[in-house]
Amino acid sequence: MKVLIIVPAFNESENLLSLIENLRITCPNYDILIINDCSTDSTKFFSFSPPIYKIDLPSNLGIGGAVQTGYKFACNNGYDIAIQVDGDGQHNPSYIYDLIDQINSGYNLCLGSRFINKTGFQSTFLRRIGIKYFSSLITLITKEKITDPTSGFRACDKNIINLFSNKYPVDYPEPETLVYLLKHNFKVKEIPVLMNERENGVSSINFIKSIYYMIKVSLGILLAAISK
Amino acid sequence: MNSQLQIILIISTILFFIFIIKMILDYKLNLKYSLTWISSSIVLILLSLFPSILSTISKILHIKEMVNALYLVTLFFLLVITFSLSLALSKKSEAIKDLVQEVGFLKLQIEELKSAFHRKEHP
Repeated sequence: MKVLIIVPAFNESENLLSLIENLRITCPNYDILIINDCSTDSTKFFSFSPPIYKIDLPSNLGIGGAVQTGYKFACNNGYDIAIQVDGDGQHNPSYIYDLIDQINSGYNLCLGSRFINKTGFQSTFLRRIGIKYFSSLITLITKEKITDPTSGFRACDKNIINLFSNKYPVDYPEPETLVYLLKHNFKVKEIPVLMNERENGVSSINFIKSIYYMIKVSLGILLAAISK
Repeated sequence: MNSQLQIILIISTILFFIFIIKMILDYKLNLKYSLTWISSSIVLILLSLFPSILSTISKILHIKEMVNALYLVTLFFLLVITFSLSLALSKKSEAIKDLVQEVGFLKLQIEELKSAFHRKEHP
């Protein structure tokens, strides 16, 4: 079973190497693909050998475009399962096997949620309100309960890999893709995970962008619910 | 406002809105650039449903004819939309420039690889 760990990274040179080491220790049989989303730091000077791969994008695409690059790689190289792990170290590799277990049990996509057991890093107060709002909107539209719809800690099977390599939103893709999958009868599972606080660096979402984010993602969710 | 005109305006603004949504669902219009269009078309629907908003705007701006206020509002929206297109275009031009340069570097690397390969084959 070929498994690819997709690590999108933007200016995470301080966190990246320790994350990769952690991944190699926890999951020595899985391949790793680092997507360097045109970082302005020293990420482009890191070099690795297989089974660790790095793609240095010539232009910044954002999380959607970067992660989709990973899905295209997974599709082109015949991987069975792809897992997204953020380059900033917030996602704990020890949960990767739990995510994969769910895929092997028949789910198409499995995501790690901070909010099922409410342990570990719970994000800022404002963020949690936003996430609660999206969670309620998704439940309203799909009648499914998803506690952490913005979580980028997800594993998916070959069907989803093919789907995402063709169609993946460029901005804030996590909630929209979830709604699309739920509406198209894919099986989605959430499991509880602990997330770590950002070790170094600054998150890429600030307050002004947050308002734009709320409007845009709500619209995206509504449209994803009715799209083909 | 003449009620016949109002009905025509309500139907056409709603059709315009539906057209925009369809373009997004057909993946012909990106969600990113659609926000100004969606908000503008919603405003147009509201204006045709409640023309009194327009007369309020004309009063505030001291414009005599409601129609002139409508032109002003429409021109303002067009200005906003075309300017946002200029911004988007500028960003894409930068990205294309980066891509072109990257392709240049890739071509150089391929040439270097070819030479190294030929040197190995025919020392």
